[in-house]
Amino acid sequence: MSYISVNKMAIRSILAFLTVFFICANIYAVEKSVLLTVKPVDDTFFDYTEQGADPSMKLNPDQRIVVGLINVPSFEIKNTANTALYDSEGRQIPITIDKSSFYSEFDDSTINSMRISFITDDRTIKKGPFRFEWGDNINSKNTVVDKIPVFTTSKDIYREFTWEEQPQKSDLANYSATLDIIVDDKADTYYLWYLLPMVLIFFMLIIRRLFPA
Amino acid sequence: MKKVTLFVFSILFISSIASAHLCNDVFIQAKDNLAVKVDIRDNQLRVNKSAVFRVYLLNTMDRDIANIQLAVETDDFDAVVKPAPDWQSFPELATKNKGGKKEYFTVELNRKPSTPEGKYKIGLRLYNGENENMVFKTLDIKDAIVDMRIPEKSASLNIDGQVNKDEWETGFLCASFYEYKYEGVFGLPWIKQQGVNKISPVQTRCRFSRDENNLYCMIDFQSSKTEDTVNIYIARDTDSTPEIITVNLQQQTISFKNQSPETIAKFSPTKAEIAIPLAALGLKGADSFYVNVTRKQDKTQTYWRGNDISVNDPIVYANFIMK
Repeated sequence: MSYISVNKMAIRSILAFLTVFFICANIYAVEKSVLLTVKPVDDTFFDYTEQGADPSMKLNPDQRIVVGLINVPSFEIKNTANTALYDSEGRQIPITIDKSSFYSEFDDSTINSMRISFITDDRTIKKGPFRFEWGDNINSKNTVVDKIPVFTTSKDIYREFTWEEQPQKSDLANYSATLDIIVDDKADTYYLWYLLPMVLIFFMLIIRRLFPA
Repeated sequence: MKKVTLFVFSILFISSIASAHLCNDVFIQAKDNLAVKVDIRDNQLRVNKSAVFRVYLLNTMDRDIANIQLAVETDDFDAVVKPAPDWQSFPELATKNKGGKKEYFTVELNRKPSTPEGKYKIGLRLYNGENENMVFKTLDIKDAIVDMRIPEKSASLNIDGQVNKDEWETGFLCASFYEYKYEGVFGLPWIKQQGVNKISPVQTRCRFSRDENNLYCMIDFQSSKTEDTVNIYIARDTDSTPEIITVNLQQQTISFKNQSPETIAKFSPTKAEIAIPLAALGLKGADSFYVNVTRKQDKTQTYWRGNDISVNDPIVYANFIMK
C-alpha cells in the first residue's frame, strides 16, 4: 500500500468522522420543535388584528395566509433567524415575523413569544401538520415586519394554527405514555424502612429510661 | 320511485357523514379536554409480585365519549385492566357537562416469572373500543404523570412588584393560556358543534417558587385592559374544593377566603409578585397539592388547565410537588 493511498484513507476517515460529527451536532443543536395544525379562523380572529382593504399581494385561489402566535413555554430565541418552518414533506417555508408581537419575559434580548405568518395552499395543509423549529444553529432568511396586517375583507384567505408537542415517534398511533416500574424482590418490605427512625427513637427512649444519667 | 330512492339514499349519506364527523369531533376535543391522572407517587411503582394502581379520567368535553378503553403495553408483566365497579355507564364516559363524574380504571400488574429485578417501563394507551387505531391523546397521560416540582425561591427574591430575571428565572413556568370556544362544523359558524381550546391573544405567564412558609408567584399580564383578574386555584387533593385566590391588576389587590395578614401582593403596571402563606391554605408542610390558573381580561376568559366545564375540578389541575 503506497503512502498516498494510506493518506487518502486517512483523509476519507477524517471526512467521514467530521460528516457524522456535524450531522450529530446538527441534530443535537435543533433543540426544540412543535407541530402546527392549520385550522379555519372564526370571527374573533379579526378582533385583534387590523381592519382594512384587500391585501396587495396576489394569491392563487387555493393559497392561504396562515397567522398565529408561537407561545410555547420553552420558546426562547435571541434572533428571529433562529426559527424555521417545514411542511409535512420537509420543504422549508418562508415565514414572516411580527415585530410588534415580540414578548420578552425579563425585558432582555430574548424573544419568548411572537406572531408569525406564512403562505401555503390547501393541498399542503391537507397533507399534515407543519413543523416549526428553533435553535441557535438554525439560520433562516425570515422576513420581519413591524406588524402582520390582516384584512377583514379577505376572510376566506386566512387560516390560523394551533401547536402541539411533536411525538417522539412519527406514527401517531404510537403516542404512548410510559411509567417507570421497579421490580424489587423486597418491595413488600421496602416501606418497613420508614419505621426505622421510629424504632431508633423508641430504643433510645428505653435506654434512657433504663439507664438514666 | 326514483325520487324516493334518491331521497332515502341522500338522507343515509348525509347522516353517515354527520356520524363520522361527530366521531372525529370527540378525538379533536379529547386532545385537550380529557383529563387523566395516574395515582403513582413520584412517577415510580415498586413491585414484588404484583401491584395495583388507578388511572382516573374526567371527560370535560361538551359531549360523551361512547367507548373508551385502556391498554397497558408491556412484555414483562401480565396486566389486568378493570373499570371501576361503580362506573355504571362503562365503556361510555359521560361528560361532566351532563352529570358525568370522575371514573377510573384499575390496573393490576403481575410480574412474570421470567422478569428479574430491575427497572422497566410500561406504556399506557387510551383508545376507542370500537377501533383500536383511534387513540385518545395519550400525551395527556404523560402530562398527568410528570412531576411539577416547585423550586426553592431565589435567594434574591424580593416581593416588590419589580420582576427581575435572577429572582424568577428558575421558577416553575405556567404559560400558553387558551380560550375554550365552540367551533362550527366544516367552518360553518351557524352550526355550533364542538368546544375546543384555542390559543388566545390574551397571554399570561406565571412562575412559582416556594420556601417552608410561602408559595411565591409572579404573574406577567403582558397587557392591561379595563378589567383584568387572575384566579389561582389551589386544592389539597383531587377530591377537595379548591381555594380561589383572586389577583386584580387594576385594583392591585389579592383576595381569598382564609386570607391572612402575611399575604403580600405588589404590582407594577402589568406584573405582580405575590407571597401566599401556606398555612392560610392549610398546606403548611404538604408534600404536594393541585394548582390551576385562569385569567379574565374584560370578556376574554383564558385557562392554563381545564375549561369552563371543569375549572373547579382539581383533577384537571397540575400537581405541584413541594419537596
